[in-house]
Amino acid sequence: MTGSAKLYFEDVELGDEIGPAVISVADDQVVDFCSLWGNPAPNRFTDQAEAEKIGLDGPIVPGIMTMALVSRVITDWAGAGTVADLDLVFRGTVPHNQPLYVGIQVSDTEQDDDGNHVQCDITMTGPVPDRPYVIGTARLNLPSRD
Amino acid sequence: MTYLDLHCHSVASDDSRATVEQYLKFIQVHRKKGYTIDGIVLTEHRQFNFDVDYSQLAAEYGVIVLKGAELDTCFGHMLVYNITPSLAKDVDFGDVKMDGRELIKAARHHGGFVVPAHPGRFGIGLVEYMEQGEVFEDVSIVERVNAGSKPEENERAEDLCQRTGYLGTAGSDAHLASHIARAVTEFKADIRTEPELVDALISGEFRPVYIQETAAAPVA
Repeated sequence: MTGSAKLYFEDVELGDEIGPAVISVADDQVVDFCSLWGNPAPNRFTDQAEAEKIGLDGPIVPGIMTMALVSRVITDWAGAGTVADLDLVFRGTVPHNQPLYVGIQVSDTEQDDDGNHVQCDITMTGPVPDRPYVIGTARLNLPSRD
Repeated sequence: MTYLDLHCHSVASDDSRATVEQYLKFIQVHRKKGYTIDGIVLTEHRQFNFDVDYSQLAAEYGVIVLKGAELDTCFGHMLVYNITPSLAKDVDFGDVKMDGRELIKAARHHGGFVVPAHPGRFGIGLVEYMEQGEVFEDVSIVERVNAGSKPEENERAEDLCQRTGYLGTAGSDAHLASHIARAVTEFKADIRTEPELVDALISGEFRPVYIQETAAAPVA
């Protein structure tokens, strides 16, 4: 196996389900992220009053932080450097301090001259059965056993 | 008997991330598990493409692929089946404020059929408008099971059917390949074309089912 991949293409089958992984995002993690990102607190991601000003119930997890967290769930499974593309659709706001369930399901596999490609469907939901906060797809490039 | 997913979106809809071929591939995963899925009806948002032809893909994967649309109206989203050139000429599919009652009449006039989508959905479903006093004399069938809705929204749709006598269909409302066919409509008739779908809806001989109910034997 090359690079940091943990999986071979041959190990993956269409329909495979991974997780859901359960993560949560604490208030101070969002503050740290916003600080590094160059959008320091207080803002709608960190502050109740700022969030309410724009009609939100409370502070939310930034979209790019959600993307980073989803990427980490994928690379924890497939290995670093495997994610070639991540395309998420936000259907709701992602809350702080709540369990977030990230599910992955293999929805396509393909081999061509450029390599071995795996498409995964991604969903992020809350603790109760509900419409997902986030849906989308990730495209992975995986090494072959050959 | 025909099991059809009456509501799904391919990448032709801006919020979907599944190609038609990925749906057809994933149906093979369901079939391997013992579920019966005969076909899908693509219901793209606010559009209909007469030129696109899925017959080759359909034959390759052994799945019926029919085409409809999900249109925005002033009374919520509506699924339209058997779209003809004359209907497309009469109705502006991109008009998100179109009169839903007029759409239902126009569709029937041109040989099509309209089923209000996810009627129990909070804020945008038919139930909300009926609670405001709106009357829909030409509605006889609604989407009773929408696999993308919250459980309580599907319960509202079921209550609506029980109160009014409306018949109910089912669809996945899939936007991802792995969500295809989570709910399907079981028809008594054999259906291979859009006009046959309309005939089967008018016959009333169908019921909504979740994918688990399509298994001939229990699935592990």
